[in-house]
Amino acid sequence: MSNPTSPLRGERSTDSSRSQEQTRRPLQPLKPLRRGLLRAAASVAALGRGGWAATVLGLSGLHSALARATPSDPAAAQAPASAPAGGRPSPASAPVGAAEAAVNYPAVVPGYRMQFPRDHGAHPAFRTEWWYLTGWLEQDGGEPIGFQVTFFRSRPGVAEALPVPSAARQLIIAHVAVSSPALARLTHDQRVARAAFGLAAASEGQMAVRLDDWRLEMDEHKRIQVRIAAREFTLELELQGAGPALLQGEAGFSRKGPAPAQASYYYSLPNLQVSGRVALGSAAVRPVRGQAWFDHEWSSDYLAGQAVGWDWIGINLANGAALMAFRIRGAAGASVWAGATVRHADGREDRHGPSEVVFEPIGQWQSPRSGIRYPVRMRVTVARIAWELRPLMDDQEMDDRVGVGTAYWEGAVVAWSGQQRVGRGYLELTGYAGRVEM
Amino acid sequence: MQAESSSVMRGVRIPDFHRRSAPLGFSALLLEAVRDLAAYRGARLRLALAVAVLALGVGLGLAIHLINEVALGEFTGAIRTLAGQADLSVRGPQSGFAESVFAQIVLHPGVAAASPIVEGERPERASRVLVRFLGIDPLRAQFVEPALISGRMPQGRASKSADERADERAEARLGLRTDRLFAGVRLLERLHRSIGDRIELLDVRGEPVGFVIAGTLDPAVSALADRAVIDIAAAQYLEGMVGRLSRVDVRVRPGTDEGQLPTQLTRALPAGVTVIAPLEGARSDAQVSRAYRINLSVLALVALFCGSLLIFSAQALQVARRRAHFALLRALGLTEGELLSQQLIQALLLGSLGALLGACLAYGIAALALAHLGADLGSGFFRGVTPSLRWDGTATGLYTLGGILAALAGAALPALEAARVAPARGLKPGALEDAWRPLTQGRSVLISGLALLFAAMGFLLMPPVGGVPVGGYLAIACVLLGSVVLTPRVLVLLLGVLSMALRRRPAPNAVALISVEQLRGAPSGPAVSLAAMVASVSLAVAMMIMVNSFRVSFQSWLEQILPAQAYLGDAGLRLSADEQARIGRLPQVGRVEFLRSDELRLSPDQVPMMLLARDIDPANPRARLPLVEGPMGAGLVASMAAERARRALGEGSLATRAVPLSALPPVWISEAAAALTGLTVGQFIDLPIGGQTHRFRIDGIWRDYARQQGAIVIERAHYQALTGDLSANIAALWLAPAATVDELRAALGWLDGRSRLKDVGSIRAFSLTLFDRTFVVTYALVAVSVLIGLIALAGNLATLVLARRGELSVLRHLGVALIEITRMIALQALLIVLAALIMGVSVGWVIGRILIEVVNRDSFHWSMDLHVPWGAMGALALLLAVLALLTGWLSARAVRSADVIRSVTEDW
Repeated sequence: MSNPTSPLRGERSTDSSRSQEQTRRPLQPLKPLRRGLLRAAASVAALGRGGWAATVLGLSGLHSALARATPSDPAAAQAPASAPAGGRPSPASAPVGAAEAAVNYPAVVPGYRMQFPRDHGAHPAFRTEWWYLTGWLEQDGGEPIGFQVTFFRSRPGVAEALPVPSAARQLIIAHVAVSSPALARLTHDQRVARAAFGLAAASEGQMAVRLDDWRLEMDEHKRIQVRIAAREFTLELELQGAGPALLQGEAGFSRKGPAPAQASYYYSLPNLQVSGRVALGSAAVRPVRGQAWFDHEWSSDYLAGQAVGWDWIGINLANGAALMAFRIRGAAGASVWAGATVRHADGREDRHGPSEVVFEPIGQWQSPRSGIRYPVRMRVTVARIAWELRPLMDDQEMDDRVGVGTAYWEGAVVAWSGQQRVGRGYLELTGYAGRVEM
Repeated sequence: MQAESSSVMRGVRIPDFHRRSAPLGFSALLLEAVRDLAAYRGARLRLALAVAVLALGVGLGLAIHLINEVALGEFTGAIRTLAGQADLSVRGPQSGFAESVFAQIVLHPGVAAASPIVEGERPERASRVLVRFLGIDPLRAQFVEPALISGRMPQGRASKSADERADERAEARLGLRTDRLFAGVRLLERLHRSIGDRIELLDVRGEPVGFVIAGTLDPAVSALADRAVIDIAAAQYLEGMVGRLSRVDVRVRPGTDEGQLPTQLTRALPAGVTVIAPLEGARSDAQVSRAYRINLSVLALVALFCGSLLIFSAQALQVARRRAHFALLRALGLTEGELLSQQLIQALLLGSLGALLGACLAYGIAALALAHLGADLGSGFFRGVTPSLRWDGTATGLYTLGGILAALAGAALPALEAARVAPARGLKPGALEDAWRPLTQGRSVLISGLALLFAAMGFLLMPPVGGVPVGGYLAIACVLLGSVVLTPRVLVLLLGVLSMALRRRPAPNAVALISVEQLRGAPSGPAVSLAAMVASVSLAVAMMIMVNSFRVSFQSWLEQILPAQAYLGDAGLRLSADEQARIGRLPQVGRVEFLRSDELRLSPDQVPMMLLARDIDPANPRARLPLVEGPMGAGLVASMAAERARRALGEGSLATRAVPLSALPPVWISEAAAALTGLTVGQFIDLPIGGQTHRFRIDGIWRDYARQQGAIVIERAHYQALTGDLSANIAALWLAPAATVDELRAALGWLDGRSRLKDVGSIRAFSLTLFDRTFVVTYALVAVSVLIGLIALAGNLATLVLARRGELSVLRHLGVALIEITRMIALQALLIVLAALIMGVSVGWVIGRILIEVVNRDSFHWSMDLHVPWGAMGALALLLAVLALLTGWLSARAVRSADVIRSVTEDW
């Protein structure tokens, strides 16, 4: 028989008068909490338009908002662990906010040993995870195009206690984009679904992410297979790596800010050789070849509250080397944090900290649509070696101010050293549309 | 307008038409008609009654039409808006189908987007108010039926601030939480909650599950006003449907062949899961109630017919009475055409008045009925629909026109008669009989009457058209018309027989003989008014027979279908195997049988049929099911019904399916199921159970008044073997020798909150109450027809007596005693009533049989045993007889006081 004084299973029995108050409190006045939730909502509901960047920013905002809200919310302070003690699990959760706080996301700590193929797969306990693939493709006798495919897994922290497989405990988001100079703009597509019904899933133990008929999988020969049938293009790619995974940071523990909690597990697979077939628009399917860069990152807490946005590059160098560099920007445009990893052609790896990485804009482009100015030409200096990045085309802006509320730039770039082309890759510029207001 | 010179004679204005120069225009005729109406005395009451009855007929018909159209419009509109932009809908049995089906649909190349839905209905914990909800995945639903997502979705995005947009996106995301519930405005009212409040619903195990009301549904979508939307996982949990879905709504990829897609999809789906266009689904649901609605409308039309007949008799009598007046008018120069027009305009005026009154009455009746009986008039078809009455110009116009036409039709013959009065002859008294002689002796009338009756028999063989027993209705119309036409002949016949019988007696009673001979001598007057009486009496008798047969059959059916002493549960209860065992072990329980119900889709264009898995002994199904002998009864009507069915199904369809298969497991199908599938005892039927198709042998057909869409009974053990579903919805309990129902109820207290034990007596009483509620409208119509009959009777009898004032005065002058005159009048009244009863009851019996065997069988697919309500009919006869005597006595008094000389010289 249900206990009449605590009708909701999974809810601690509070003072009835207080619970009465809470019952009547509408959603509206919970301002700080709501703002955080909204950012998270926006990011997840962005459906890949903002890609992993916007989502990550959103979720970190949520977390900080919750951290602010938790002490002031007496209900949340008494919140139990996610599994209610001694009771049958049910979808009933505590009042707004406490359910979020009750979910335990594991922290990213140094000392984790990465193993493959296990860590190619998903890590469902963590809040956020993505498999991010960018590269250049050449069609026979045609111009080069840039492509980006990202599969994203999010654990929104809802329905954790509900014993129903179809609950939205994990969300799978996929975003794809193609930069073709012939079209002079990005063409993109996105999907989002809950990991249920056998249609969307990110498997553990091996790289296999799917969303309806979109796939990103690693086969038994360690080749990454990509199948995307988007609205305006199709991609069927096979990517072959040479060499081991490039663990970022300290053996995969990659710091993103001054506080120790701001970090992620992060490794890359640079210098992937791509072969496959692409069909753009109504054109016929054409074979392509190229190079790609693959990132896999997972985390529970990502960005410092004062972050406005970040810049990131992943460059495959012609001599077989690989370069990854990023910086987190604060309000004034100064770097809050930065880092870089260089793998030389002989396999040696160098890691560099914030003091050694400098991002310097050398050319601006203003979007005719949003009016935002992006430093699409950048000079990145890592340990006093400078690379100049020039974009495949200027307009590789993702303008989703009507949807997500933000616009950012993510495009194929060529790396120059002095007067020589030394490599190709992708550059991502976020947070230039004022503060990332999601 | 012509200047008329006129003279006034005895207060009557006499126009002189010879002086005009041109034919009278419409306005002149109208004026004449109005003056005429105003001038005629003595008939105002009768005319007023005729107008009132017409108004009633139009009012009832239009009211029923309005209620039905409004309810139906809401119902299909609800389905349409719920379906939204979905092109197709995939549905299966009520217990749902596996989620893997959804994956197959999404990955099909012809599908642009698909949205999984779980439908359910669970009570709210505190108030037990049933909450109907849809469990959706908002991320999928937004591409197929965005109306289901909270109404506060991004609209006009560019104009909103960042905050507002962020709010809206947050709502989209909050919809993923399983403890969030979005409710329609009407649901919030019913539950007395507002946004932000907590609400608990009881799941199938009876445990409370908490939700927070996070927002409202789009108020522009009226279909969602009574419902709630929650996350699909929460819905699955509430309904115990983990891993299953109720339906999948699909949007088709542009460029796909929409005709082929359903077939392609169905091939990949398990048995019992079909692809339908959502509007088709709505149409077939509405179809089920169509028969009921049409029946009601036809009943109302018959009331209109009676009104028309009343006008006919009123006009006929007044034309007969004022024959001399018309002859005079003709003599004064009014042409035939003008006189006809004048009469018809009078009828038009009366009809318009009646129809307009009726239209106003209709809206009043409709509003009252909607407020008290609900949109389905108590029949239960449109549950959950609360429409508001709307002005329907077309229907109002049509019914008003119908009323006017009925009045014109009723007045047509008398008007023609008035016009044809030859001026010279018409001025002589006694010309009435000549005029109406064709009615009583004309051969054409006899032939047309008999032809109508034969036509009726032919119509009985007609198969139903689109589920509507058109043949039955036409047969009823022909029988009514035919009998009305033949009434005068039959009256003459009856009077002849009576006269012969009286003369044969050694000392014939003079009063009686004179009464009969008087009637025989001038039967037209009585005959004409008799027609109206026969029509209304037969209508009343027919409906009494039908309703009584139905009620008695229903009562005995209830006893057969509810053999146990107490019942526990309903479709919303789910008893696990353990709980069933626990119930069986109770000391108060002598015997228990369980029932599990599900809905099966046998074909995409049919409403799903109920599957009832019962603990039934296949060797003795009669103990639990009211089996009928074969698919139809026996006798002429049954073989005619069989003939109709054969024609409806097409030749050879029965033959090809008649394959005896004794090794198959048995099922018993209801009459409705037999009618809808066209199958009968001894044939096989394929049923999709547990995702696969299984073949069964039809062992019997049983009578089912509860489910119009068809029901199939299967052994529960077999059902469990096929599906692995051990749960039960209903328990039928027999008490142990010393136990009482209250003790058992107390012992079952652990189920409190989920279901309450009911003893069979209260269930039966409640069912009968529901039955009576459903027939409230029919009872009302019976009352109206009886009222019409009585009005007709009283009015016409009085007139007849007054008509013969002259004769009666002469008789008095010849020495007949006053008391004997009174007896004479009373006897004549009784004779007319007797004739009306004899003819009315016979015709009513025929119409009642047609209603039972044809209309009900074809509309609702159920059979009834004939039970004539002798008591009620006897009461009706007695009532009519008493009224006749009363009228006769009152009329006699009026005559008594008349001056003999004056009444002889005066025209009546």
